[in-house]
Amino acid sequence: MNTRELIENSLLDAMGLLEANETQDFERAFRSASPAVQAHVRREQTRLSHIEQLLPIVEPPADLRAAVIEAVRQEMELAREQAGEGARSSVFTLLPSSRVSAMWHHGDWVHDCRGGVRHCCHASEIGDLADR
Amino acid sequence: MTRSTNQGEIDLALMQSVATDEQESVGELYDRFGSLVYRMAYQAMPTRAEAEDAVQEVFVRLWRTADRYDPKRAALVTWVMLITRRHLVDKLRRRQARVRASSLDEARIGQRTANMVDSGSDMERDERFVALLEKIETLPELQKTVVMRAYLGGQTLRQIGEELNTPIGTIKSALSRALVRLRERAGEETLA
Repeated sequence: MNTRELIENSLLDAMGLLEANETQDFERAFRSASPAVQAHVRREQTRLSHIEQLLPIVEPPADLRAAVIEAVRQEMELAREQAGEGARSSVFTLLPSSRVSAMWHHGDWVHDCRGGVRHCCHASEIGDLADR
Repeated sequence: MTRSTNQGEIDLALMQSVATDEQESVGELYDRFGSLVYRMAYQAMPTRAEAEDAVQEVFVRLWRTADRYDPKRAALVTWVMLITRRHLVDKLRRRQARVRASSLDEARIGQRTANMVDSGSDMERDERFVALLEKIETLPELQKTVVMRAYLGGQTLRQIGEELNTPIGTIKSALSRALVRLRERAGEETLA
């Protein structure tokens, strides 16, 4: 992927318009780009937030904040319950989790365990799975 | 230390805190981006109720992915927009199983706007949305078609390429150029 394609894809990435495999290609190209190009991509993506100016001028209802916090709290609770059940079922099995590894930051290969079957996949793939 | 580095550190600390299930931090994240996410959802979803549901789902998704946030990779606003757009695109694509993409064809922009007004949609008084459609209308033909189908309709670029019998590289370039043009026009309005 050359620099022009990288910039082009960065805009589509920021708008969530790339497919999972394209996102992975973009991530790989971004990581291998020079710091100057990375900074340029980052600036281009940030500038895309100007599109916000084209969004409707509407304010969220006042009770939405509480509803959002409650929705996240319930998900946190559910995740804790599932983690607890998993720990009880087997102390040797890694827990299937919707959360993703911080190793994503480094693009490392990580081990993940889903459904009791251990396999190796790239952290970005885990992120994508968790994302969907 | 530069200001942007400081902001990056603040953003990273916030997302790390969200990742460790700090509800207060979720509130802080909402205070910073709730309005943006709601406006994006309001633009994409047909009703306020669906927009509000989408906002809740987006914040759950932001919590789930919080430990993936890397300020070196993207500013937090970009990350939030990415997660929001992905979620909205997913929802639009699921909806597409029921709604034919052709209804989003550029030739029907006027009809679609008129339908929204006639149907008493939540967007009927939304001049911004009409203004956005008008801006899209001024784009070159292919850019207009692609941005309507992908940005507003949630169609995949591959689907668009197949339907228009156009290489996906051309579709990507057209969409990318359209987004830059829209961004620049939005920037001009901000300065005006």
